[in-house]
Amino acid sequence: MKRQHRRRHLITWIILPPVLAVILWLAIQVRPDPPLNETLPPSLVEAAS
Amino acid sequence: MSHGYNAVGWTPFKKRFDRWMLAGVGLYLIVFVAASVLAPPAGESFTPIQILIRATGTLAFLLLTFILCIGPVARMTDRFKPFLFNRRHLGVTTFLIGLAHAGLVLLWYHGFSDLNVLVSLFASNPRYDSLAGFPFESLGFVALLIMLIMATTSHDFWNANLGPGVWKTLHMGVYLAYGLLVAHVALGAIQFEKHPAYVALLVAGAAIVSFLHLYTALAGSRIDGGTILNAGWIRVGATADIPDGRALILQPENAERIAVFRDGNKIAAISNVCRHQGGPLGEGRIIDGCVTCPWHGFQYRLEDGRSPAPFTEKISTYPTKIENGVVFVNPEPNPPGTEEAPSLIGAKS
Repeated sequence: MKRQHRRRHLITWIILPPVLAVILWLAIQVRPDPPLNETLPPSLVEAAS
Repeated sequence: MSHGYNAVGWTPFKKRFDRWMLAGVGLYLIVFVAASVLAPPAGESFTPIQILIRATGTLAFLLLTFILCIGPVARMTDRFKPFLFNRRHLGVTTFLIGLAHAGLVLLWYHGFSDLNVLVSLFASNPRYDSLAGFPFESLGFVALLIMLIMATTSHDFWNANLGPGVWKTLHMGVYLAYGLLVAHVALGAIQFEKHPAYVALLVAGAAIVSFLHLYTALAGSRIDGGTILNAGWIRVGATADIPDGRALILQPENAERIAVFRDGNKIAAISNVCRHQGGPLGEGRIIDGCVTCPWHGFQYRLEDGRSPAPFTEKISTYPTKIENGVVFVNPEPNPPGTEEAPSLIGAKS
C-alpha cells in the first residue's frame, strides 16, 4: 500500500474499534430480557383454586 | 472511456476457487434452511421468506467478516495468500448475498403497503432518537450502497480508469460498511434473537477484525527505515538476512517503501508499490524469475522493474551495492522501467 493508504488504514482502525465497542455495549444494554416463565408455581395455583 | 487495462487473468486456480466458494455458499444456505425447518428455535416459527432473510443476512455478515480478516492474516501466513488473490470474487459474492437479503426484507416487510418500498424503509420507523427501536434497516441500506459501489467498480477497467490511488481510497469504504453492518446487526437482529450465540458471534467477529487490522497496521508502521550513511546510501542488512526469492522492505524518510530482493546470488531493489492496486511487492516472492505481487499476481522483472510482455507496467528500480557482505540501497529512485544491474553476492566490490 502507498504511504497515504497505510496512514488512512491505521487511523481508521484506531478510531473504529472503540466506536464498535460502544455500539455493541449499548446494543447489549438495551437488549430486551428473555421472557419470564409464565407458568405459575403449583402452590399458587392450588391456593387460587 | 477507453483507457487500456490488463485484467487479472482468470486462471484455472481462480475458477476452482470460485467453484468451491459457490459450493460453500450453497451448502451454508441449505444447512441453515434445513436446520430452521427441521429444528426451529423453541417457541418460534418462521415463514420460508423469513428463514431466507436470516440465512442470507447471517451469511453476508460472516463472509464480510472473513473477507476483512484475509488481508491481515495473509501478512502473517502464506496459507492465506490464495484468499487474498481471490478476495474480489468473495467481495462481489458477499454483495450479491447482501442484495438478496435486502430484496427479501423489502419484499416481506415493506412490500405490502401503498408506499414505495424505499420510502417505507426510511419512513415507517422514525425512531432515530431511540436506541432500542432504532430503524436499523437504514444502516444496512447505506452499507449495501457502499458495497454496491465497490462491487460495480471491482473490475480492473475501473482500477485503470480511476487510478490505483482513487480506486484504493474508494474500496477502503469497506471499513465504513463493516462498521454500519455491525451497528445494523447490533440494533437489529441482536435485539430480537434470543440465542446468545448471535451476540457471541457478533462481538467475537468485530473483536477479531479490529485486533487483526490494528495489529498489522501498527506492525507495518514500525518497518525499519535503515541506517542512512554517507552519500545517501541506506544500510539494508547482511546478504544472509534476505531469504532467497524474498525481500526486505525499507521505509526511507518521506518516500515510498523500497523492496530489496534476493534472487540466488543477485540483489536488486525495486519500488514496494505494485502499479496495479498498490500491493506490497516486498511481501511477494520471485516466481519464474519475476517479482510477483501477493495481491493479484502482477509480475515485474527485478533488473528493470518492467512487467514481462505483453504487459506494460513499470515501477522504479534503485541502485544497490554490497560491501563486506552488507547490502546498501540508494533511496533515489530511477525512472520507472530503468535497467539497473543487480549486485552480485560474492563478487569483488
